[in-house]
Amino acid sequence: MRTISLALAFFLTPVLAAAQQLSVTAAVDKTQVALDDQVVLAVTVTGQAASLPDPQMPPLRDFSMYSSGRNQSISFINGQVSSSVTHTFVLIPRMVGKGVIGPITVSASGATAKTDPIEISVAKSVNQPTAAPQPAPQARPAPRPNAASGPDIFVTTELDRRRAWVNEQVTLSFKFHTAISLMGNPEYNPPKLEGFLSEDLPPLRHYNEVIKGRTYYVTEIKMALFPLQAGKLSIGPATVHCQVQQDVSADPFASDFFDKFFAQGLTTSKAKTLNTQPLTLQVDPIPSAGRPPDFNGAVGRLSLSTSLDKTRAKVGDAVNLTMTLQGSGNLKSLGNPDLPQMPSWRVFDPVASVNEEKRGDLVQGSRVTRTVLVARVSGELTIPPITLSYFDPDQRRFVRLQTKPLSVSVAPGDANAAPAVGYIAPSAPTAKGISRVNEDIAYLKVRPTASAGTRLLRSWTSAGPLHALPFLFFAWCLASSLYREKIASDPKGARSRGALKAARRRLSSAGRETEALAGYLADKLDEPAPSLTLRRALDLLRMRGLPEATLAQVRALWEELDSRRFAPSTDLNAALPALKGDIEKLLKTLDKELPS
Amino acid sequence: MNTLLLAVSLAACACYAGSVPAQTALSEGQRLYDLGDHRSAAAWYGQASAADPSSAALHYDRGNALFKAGQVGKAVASYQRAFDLDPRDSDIRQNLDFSLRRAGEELSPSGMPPLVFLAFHLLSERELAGLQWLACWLTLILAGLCLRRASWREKLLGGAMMAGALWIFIGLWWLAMRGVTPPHRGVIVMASVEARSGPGENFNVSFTAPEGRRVQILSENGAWLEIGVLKEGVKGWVPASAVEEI
Repeated sequence: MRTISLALAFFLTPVLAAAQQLSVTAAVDKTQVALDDQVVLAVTVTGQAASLPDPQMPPLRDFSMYSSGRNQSISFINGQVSSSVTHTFVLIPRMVGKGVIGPITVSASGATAKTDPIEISVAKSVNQPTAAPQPAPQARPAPRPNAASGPDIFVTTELDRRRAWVNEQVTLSFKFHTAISLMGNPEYNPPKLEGFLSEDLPPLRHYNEVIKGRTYYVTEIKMALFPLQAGKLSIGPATVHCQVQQDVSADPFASDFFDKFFAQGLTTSKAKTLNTQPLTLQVDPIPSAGRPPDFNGAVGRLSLSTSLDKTRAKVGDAVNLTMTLQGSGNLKSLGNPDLPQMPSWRVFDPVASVNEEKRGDLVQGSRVTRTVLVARVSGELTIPPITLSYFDPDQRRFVRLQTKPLSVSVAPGDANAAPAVGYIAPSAPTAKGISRVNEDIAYLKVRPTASAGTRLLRSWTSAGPLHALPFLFFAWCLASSLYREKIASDPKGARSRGALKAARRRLSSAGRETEALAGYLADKLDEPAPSLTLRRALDLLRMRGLPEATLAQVRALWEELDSRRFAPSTDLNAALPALKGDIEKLLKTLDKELPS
Repeated sequence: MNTLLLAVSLAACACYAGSVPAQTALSEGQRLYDLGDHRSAAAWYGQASAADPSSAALHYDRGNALFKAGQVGKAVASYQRAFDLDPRDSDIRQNLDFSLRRAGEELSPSGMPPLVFLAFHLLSERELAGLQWLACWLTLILAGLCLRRASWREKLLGGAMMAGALWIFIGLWWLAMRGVTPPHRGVIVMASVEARSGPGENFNVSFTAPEGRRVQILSENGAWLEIGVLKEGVKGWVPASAVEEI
């Protein structure tokens, strides 16, 4: 393709110039063309703004011109926006000879740019040896109407599918059928699209088609649609305004011969507007099941590769990492693949460019992302695998792409070397010291960290029921202390309560039977034991209300013990156990009848 | 007193016996880690830490291997377990803080001076519980002896009161730590988990939680957990597989 272009960047004011450097170029795919052929004209407007003006096309005397869509790419480099819009037109020559496309201009904010004129040589058609000028398709003689029925002219739109996934390409075909001659160029208004990204799919297609026995000349415009959201999305009607040829009406039965004669062969034009039926597309959401974490909405069929411009560098050198994402899908809306953590590298903002092709009505191409990396440290540095996941609508599954790791041998940097392009070196420290290169997790523990004291405390916590011991010990001490205090506060009662126990202790010792009985009575009656006589004891017991039978037993035993004490005999020892039994019985009786 | 000595001896023996498999696991895991086989190292440390869950070093090393393998959420869970066991270890604190910052969180709560945080976490919860029991034993034994004899009371009363004060102090500290550490905690282990207003896909998404964010597990309903995000104070339902319980 020979490119004839003129780029004019001019500045009305310095401020405007900085804000928007507007330029326009025009190129045709051929400068010599046959009369029945077509020329593709690409007009590219570039500028440092997200929104660029449309080109103002000159009046074309020698060609019929049809818009074949626009293609926009926006790039962000270091926070600055620059965009480029390419408008594609199809030119159909009208006559043999030299045709000229005049200067194409663009204007915005007072700035104007224009292209040079383009000259195109139009030769005779190979298949049409006649010297007559070849009319434009719309002006061509329509296929001769035959006996079959059908409208003279109509338009249709159709989708290549009725159901699609979010961000999956759907092809919309607009067809303009004519069976009659048109006058002038028809004006095509594309359908209103909401919830879609659209891409034109040039070129225009022209062919004949027989419908219901009638031959139509068909002009077809295709458009790739990428639904942005799930649900039922509607595609509005497309419209065509055209002028159709109409015979001048003449009454065939008129008596005036001259009227009929002069009306023959005369035609007039009639404006006609044709609308297509609106369409509906069912859009399914991307499945959530099995969705990889790094999935960012990419749909299509893709491949990912990475490369470096060098494998040896020095600290501070710039290394260019190129990631190429290739395949079919809406590459413009894809984000850049996420780079993994690379603490050994200083990573600059990536710059992406999209090369799009539209072959076989499929939007495809490559997205090349270049990232400048600057080595922070020396050594064998690795750029880890870069991953990207996309959804393949044909296979109805997610595909995860992963590149191979790349290695760069980085030598220590030259202290006097100039910094890498685009690399802003950190300010040098004024004094020698430690400069932190990057932050990472601390290394492994190679020994158990818990000290013996910590382990002991943890085990101590798990002792379980053993912890009841100090509570039991304290409770015992407390009870014992309280008991002692109680005794100390009531010696008379304590003596009375301990009387039986003391008496039994004495009774168990040999020869202390008298002492056992007398001591018991003394403790119970709160009398000094040595001075307690039988008479005194009986009096006190009587005062306590003991029955006479018990008193008689006391008297009998007391006297028995006295007699044994003052009249010892070896025969008496034989009766000693019985006597002790009697004393024990009496003590029990007394203990019941004498309250403490 | 003989019983006390016996208990201490048994506990010491148990501690020594538990350190042998941990040392083996640490060596093997280190070999794999140094070779760059972080996933295998993480699996090895995972088995070893499951067998010996009281080893802070095993949890820490598992966290390192998981972090290097790119599983930040599981790494945070392991570091948190290690921190709960050994809060004085500076490496554990650094790595936990480093990985938490990936999830937009910090180890030390905002507004709390670092020294106060370090002082509060000078001892682990289990160490505090052990010290509390020790102070409890000391207090009760000394107090019991004081009750036994008046002559001992004069000598031991001061010690018993100090032990009692220590018991109360450590008890309050332990209660405070229990208060700031929720009983059921977890960590988000999947990237950008969507928390919904109910336990199911049919409920609206309330918020998204990043991988590595610590959460409180409030309740369970089938395969869904209700979580509360500690820092932001919001709650929602997430799949149980998205959370690793600490």
